[in-house]
Amino acid sequence: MYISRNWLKDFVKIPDSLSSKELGLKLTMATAEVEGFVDQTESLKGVVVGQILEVKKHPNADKLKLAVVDIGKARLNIVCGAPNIEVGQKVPVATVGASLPNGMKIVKVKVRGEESSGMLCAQDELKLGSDHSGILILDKNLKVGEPLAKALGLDDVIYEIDNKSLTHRPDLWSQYGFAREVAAIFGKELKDWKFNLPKMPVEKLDIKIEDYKLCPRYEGVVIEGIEIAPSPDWMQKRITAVGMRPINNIVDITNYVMWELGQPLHAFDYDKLDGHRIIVRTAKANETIKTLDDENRKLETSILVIADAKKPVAIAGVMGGANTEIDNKTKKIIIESANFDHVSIRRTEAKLSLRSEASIRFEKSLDPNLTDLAIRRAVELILQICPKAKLASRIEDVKKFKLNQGPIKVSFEFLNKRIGEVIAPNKIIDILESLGFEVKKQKDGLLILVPTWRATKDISIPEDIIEEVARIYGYDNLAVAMPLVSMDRPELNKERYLERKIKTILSLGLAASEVYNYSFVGEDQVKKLGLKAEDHVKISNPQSKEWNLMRRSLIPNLLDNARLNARFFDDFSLFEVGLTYLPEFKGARISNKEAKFLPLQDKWISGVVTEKKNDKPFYIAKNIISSLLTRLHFEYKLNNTKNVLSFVKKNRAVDVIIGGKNIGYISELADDLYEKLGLKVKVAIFELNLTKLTELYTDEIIYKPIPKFPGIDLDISMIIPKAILWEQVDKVVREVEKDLIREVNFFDVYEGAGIPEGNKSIAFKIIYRSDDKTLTMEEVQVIHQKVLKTLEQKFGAQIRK
Amino acid sequence: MDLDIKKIKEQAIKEIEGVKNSEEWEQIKNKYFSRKSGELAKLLKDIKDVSEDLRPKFGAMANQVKDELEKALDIKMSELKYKGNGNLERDFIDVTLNVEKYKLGHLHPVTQISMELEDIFKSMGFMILDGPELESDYYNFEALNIPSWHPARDTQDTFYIDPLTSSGHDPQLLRTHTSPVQVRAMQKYGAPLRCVVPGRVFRNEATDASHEHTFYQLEGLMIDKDISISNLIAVMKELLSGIFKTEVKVRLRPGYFPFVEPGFELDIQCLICGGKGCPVCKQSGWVELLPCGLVHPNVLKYGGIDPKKYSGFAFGLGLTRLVMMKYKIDDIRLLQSGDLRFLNQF
Repeated sequence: MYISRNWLKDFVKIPDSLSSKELGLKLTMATAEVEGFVDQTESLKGVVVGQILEVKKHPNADKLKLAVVDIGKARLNIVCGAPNIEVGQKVPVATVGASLPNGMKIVKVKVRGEESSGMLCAQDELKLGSDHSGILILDKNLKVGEPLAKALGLDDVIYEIDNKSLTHRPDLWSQYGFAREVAAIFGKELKDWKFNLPKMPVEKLDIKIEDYKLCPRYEGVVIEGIEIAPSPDWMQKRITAVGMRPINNIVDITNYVMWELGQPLHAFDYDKLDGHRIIVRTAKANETIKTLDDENRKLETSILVIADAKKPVAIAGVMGGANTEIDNKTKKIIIESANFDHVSIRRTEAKLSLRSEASIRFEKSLDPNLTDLAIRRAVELILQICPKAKLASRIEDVKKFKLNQGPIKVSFEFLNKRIGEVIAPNKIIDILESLGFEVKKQKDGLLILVPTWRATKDISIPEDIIEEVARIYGYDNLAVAMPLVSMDRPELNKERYLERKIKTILSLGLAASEVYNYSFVGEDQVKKLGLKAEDHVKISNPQSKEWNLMRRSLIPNLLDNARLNARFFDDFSLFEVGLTYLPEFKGARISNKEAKFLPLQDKWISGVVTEKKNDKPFYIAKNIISSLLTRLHFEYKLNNTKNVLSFVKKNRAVDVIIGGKNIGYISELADDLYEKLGLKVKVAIFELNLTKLTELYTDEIIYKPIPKFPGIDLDISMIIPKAILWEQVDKVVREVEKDLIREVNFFDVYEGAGIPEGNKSIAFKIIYRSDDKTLTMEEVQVIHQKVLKTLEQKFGAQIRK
Repeated sequence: MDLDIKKIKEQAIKEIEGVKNSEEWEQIKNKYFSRKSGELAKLLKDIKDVSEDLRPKFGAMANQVKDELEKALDIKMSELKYKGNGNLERDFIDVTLNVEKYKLGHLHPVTQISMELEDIFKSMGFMILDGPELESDYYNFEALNIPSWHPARDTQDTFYIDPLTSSGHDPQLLRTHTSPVQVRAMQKYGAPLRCVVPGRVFRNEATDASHEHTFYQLEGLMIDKDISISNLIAVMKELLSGIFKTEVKVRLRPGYFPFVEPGFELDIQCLICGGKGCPVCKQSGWVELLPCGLVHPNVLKYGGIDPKKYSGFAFGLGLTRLVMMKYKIDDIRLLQSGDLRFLNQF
């Protein structure tokens, strides 16, 4: 949205002493975000009116010309590429040192060997319009050497307002709306509207509204004696200033009124309307319309149109039809000033993927009262600008609407408490009245009638009044005060507490690095891993097929990380903590009203581990998880399992069991997947369910006394069949003498040369210790011999001496 | 006799201290410890002549002196051994080499910043909460005063879930902000309430160096009796000073978000130029930092809190943006690239 300072001055006195910057800042602080402004005088500094004295061909370039230009105090040689320059023309000349509004800095240059001391400018380079087809040719009567801004009467300041900050303010899509804000901010009077219109004729215009919900009001008037011509300079200047393109007097007037008052208008060629009547209805099945942008559009039956007796002539509130467009022969017109339902407009915009200056205003929910002001303003301008124009009908007004203007009852106490500052009642009343509210003072507060232009949905509750008072009073003027509240201790989020511990141990303790991946996976990706795409939650409007499913495991994307990083690193462990999405289980409620649930979204800790020279990274992963769980003081078991996921290597997998519950697994990637995934190194994987882990976690540690008596450790090295698991050995050893065998610690395993086929050599240490006395070697040897014998009997172990 | 022993000891200690090389050391050792002619041997001989009742006392004294002198000689020997340069040459190592490297792991930068912020909020009495990322339309929009027709829905490009593949109920989506946890928290904890919600959010927009469909926010909510705009300014100023580790200046200006009324954009005075104007703040002296506002009474009602008894404020901090600001990261996509060449830097 663009606001012109000069245009504002039509309605409110802005002191000349107020700088452009200051006005912008005030609007930002009290009303809406000013993104920037262009001071035309400043931005055209160094651009002067020049006259072309001579045009020659550039000796070294076919498309370039050499112009000699008179700028009054000097004659400049300028190289120019535009096709339209001729001797005698007056043109804008940017002199050396000037900075154009488009950011270009003018310096003296040589273009293909010819010196150029300045630049002839096109319209768009000066931000005076969008034309770039040639140099802007100026009026012959302009004085050579005069600054261009002065010569063209360009003394305006144009503010650009962030549209997003206006989404809730239907009243601010106009110069007049901003003038009202300026008046309130600076305590000035806002000019009211008065029109001197001729006596209305008795002729009627036939207007029919089929659904008042979709079109609460439609005003129309017929005007004849129109002669299509360019609109006057002052109007073109303003229309250009706010970013529109001047077209002809009638279209420019409708646009002018829209930018001035915020009410979109439309002009139909009366003679092109079948039956010369207006029907506001929804489109019929299979109806089409060619809109003003030359697009043929198929209409759906939910779309509101303006129709004549036979055909749709406009998409209501969005865009007019080409079939009733104003052209150079137009003599008689209908001006439409109507109000449309914002929801219906938004749906139409979405269906047709079409937005216009009109529809972005209607979608904000405009005040139906505005149509009358706007149509009168338009009639006034048409009669003023087209001397032969004459009203051919009365202003027809068909309407049915009701606004909720309140009144809203607000106590001073409420206002002061919510703002946090006591503002004098008179000040509050002044502020509200300056914004158009009608205020009645009561004993403890105010009864406030909302102005119609704020009553469509913007303002309806006392909290809305807080904002109006506080923003004009000035947020900067509020005292800053800490709340007085009781010092309640925050409840601990156990899952986050544990998550932080785990992340810290994994990364800072166990040298794993944390990654963040998307929550998305793709169909091909999961199919490769042997998972079913249909088990996944699917996104209706994904960005691509690669990211159209919600992950059930963090592993697929982690495998991709492994592939990427293996190109640059030999050894690494990666982990991620994040949610998974399982539709077959119940998660959080979808609302507090019904027992319906979202998919289960447990948090998992998952990781991939790889070492280039290690073909059994399983052991590293196992070490990481064992260390992690030990560090967290979990009593855990790692159970050999064959019941594994599709992408897991079947004979290298253990389940992680805590408190009898399966909370995850450690394994390696299945052999057949390396080729498919483009992985060249062995990858171990692990997954732990953090949500479940949290339920089992306790940070209770009970100290055990330090042993009073020394122990004796003895090593055993033996050859046993390969298939015997360490777990079995450990168990058998401990059972020999439960009280005195305190630790059985594996330290080496070996297969290969020197060891018979199908066997392995395994070495471990047993620690014998008593709580009651110092054991003698003789006592220990008795038990140790028993251990050796048991190993020989149970496993056929060959003890190495 | 008593004095003799002490004298011999003092003399010996002095001489041992004066030793300069191994020859001298040998001489001194012989002088005192020679079995036949050593001073200590002489001493022991003399003790034999002492009366029987005093003999054990002197014997013990002589033995103690012997021990002390042996120790002094040992120390001297080790001193002589490690003096001189021969040993230094033999034990030379290149201290500039990195022979065995400890492997280091890394926490994701978003995690690091999030942890830092959580600590600040916890210290001011805020709970840290989480919520589902796959959310219901109800919590993401409706309960936040964004009904189905509301234009605010347009501005939040939403990923919708195919209901047939999910739990089937109502429109489900990927949360577009962390705000749904506001209402979930109100329903669970009631008032008063102080909480923050760090988390992942989704917007269906094209990805480039400054846009991502997946990013991180930190939502804040405080509800109590008579919470005012002044309170909001004071608390935010304190929190942000904690976050930026310096006293920051803040300002509020109008901003529109359906779940607050009034709504604000909060700016902080530019930390680079101190408000004088620089390229970072586009010469304005202020940097737009976060949207905030007083919680809309409709939202309180959805949360089961009586807006007549309680009021509150909410704010939304862009965690991703904060991380990018702090580490001067110019491509948002790096954060979710899983690339160790990036992650190893944190």
